[in-house]
Amino acid sequence: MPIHNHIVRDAHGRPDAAGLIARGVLLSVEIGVHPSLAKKATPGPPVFGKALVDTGATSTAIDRNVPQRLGLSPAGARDILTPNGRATAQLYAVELRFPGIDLPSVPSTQVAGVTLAELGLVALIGRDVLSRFVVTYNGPLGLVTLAH
Amino acid sequence: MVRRAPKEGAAGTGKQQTDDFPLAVDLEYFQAQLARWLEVHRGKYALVRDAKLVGVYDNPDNAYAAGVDAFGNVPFLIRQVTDEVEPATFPALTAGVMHADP
Repeated sequence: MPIHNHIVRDAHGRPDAAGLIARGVLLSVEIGVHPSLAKKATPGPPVFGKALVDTGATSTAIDRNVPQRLGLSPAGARDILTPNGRATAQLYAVELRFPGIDLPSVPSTQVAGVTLAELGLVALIGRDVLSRFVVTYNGPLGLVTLAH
Repeated sequence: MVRRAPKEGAAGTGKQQTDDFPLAVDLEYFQAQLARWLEVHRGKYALVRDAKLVGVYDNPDNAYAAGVDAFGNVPFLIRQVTDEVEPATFPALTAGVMHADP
């Protein structure tokens, strides 16, 4: 079973519970085109960046610039709640990969395009993707474990 | 890419087809057909392209594979045939930390 232990440490290498509170779970991700499309077309180069694991989000989202950089067309639309009420986000099919981490890639055809870049993020990993993992949050140790 | 939904309307209605939002026509078509499709395709995933129903599938992955096979990397709409659509929630976005609009 692939397992990733995400440990937040302080400057002295000690478990940092406050650091986990402050920064959350940030994973390095590589976002590429969905495998179904990769069989049919030459994919653009993947987009690398940080993804925030967000158990409060129903769905996974990517920054709106990612589909543009991958040359992806939308493959759906879904209502989302925003500070100003309902809006409709376009959905994209991508594959999330986790370089350097022993977790499998996750293809999804239902990823919403929103604006995340100002947070320094390329993706929010929501509960739809997390539903494929066992997630354990150990606050006192500054440790989050993802297992597949 | 996000478009504001009309206050009184359901998703996919009242939107204009633009380069930024190329699915407006297909969304309108989906909404117009939804009541009829619910009788025969409830719970399935519809694949719509150019205001035509291409097919219905058990899951969105199969619908996407069929769409790519048929049309390649162009805009098409995959949407579940259901009348119980809850909006996706992103608390960080709802709290205004993220921006919904370009």
